[in-house]
Amino acid sequence: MGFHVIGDADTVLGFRLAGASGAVVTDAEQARAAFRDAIAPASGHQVLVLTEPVAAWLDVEVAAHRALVRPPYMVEVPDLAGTPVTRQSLESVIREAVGIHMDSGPDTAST
Amino acid sequence: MARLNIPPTKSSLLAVRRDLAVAAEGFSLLDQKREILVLDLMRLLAEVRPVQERLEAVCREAYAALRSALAANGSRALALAAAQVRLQPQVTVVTRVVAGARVPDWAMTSAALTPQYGFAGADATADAAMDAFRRLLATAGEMARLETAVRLLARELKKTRRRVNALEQLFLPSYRETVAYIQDSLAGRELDAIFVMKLVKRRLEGAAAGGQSYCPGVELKAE
Repeated sequence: MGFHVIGDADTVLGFRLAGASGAVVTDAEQARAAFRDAIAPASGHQVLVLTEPVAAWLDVEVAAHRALVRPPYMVEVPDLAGTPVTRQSLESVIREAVGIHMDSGPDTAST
Repeated sequence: MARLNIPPTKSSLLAVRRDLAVAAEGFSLLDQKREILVLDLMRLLAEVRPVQERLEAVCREAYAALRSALAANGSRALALAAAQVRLQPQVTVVTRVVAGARVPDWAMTSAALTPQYGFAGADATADAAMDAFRRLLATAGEMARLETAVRLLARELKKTRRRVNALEQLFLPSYRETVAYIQDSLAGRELDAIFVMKLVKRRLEGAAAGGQSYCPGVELKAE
């Protein structure tokens, strides 16, 4: 299996139309259980798509799994209700690691 | 900077010099690794921005399509249609090695778009939603790849920077200082030894020439 989605019923339905498998969850407990199943090596998922509310419920688990750097690799998307992704952006991760500040322009890097 | 607490002898000088050489070599290697990681992260940063924007746009599109599909067909009919979808988007993960860090890289394959469910079951809006979600899935996969790579490289870079800093600020100066200290004290001791030797030589010469004792205050007794 390639893609797996954890989210609300409508979002999961949409991803199912594209051929991804999915787990419908409505609260943090269910989300945790579904997440545990999804990251088990036996599941064989390569990419795990989480909707924003699910990712917010599973803050700790997601961070722990990310630290392992092994499949399934995760990505967060807004859900059907349009909750925007408000995580620490990748750019700030890069900025923190590189130790320099990048402004919008490519040539305005300063220490 | 604190120098190491070791006795100033010739053998420890050799040992510390060896350590210093190893540390200097390690420093230059780690510094190179750090530069490679920074370059790679910068390249990823340029890649991340458009993908992030595309993900948002594709997401909006897909959800709009899904909403109209839900409105036109009802969630029951749509779920029925979704259950018949046989597409299986696959991801083949290969590992790319960047400066010793193993970064997952992958290619996505998706079957050609063919009719997946009965024509009577759902209308064109469902097809549109399906197509939009296929694109969303591709973009989300791309994003997952970038996100994993960025976090991995960022972690590796932080680790490398810590090591480079430790070597540069702590180990190299203390080794250098220790080498200088040992060299100084060895040179001082050598000077002492030369001085003593000269003194002894002068007195021996004086004793041979004048028949006097080479130890002041002690008379030579004639045999």
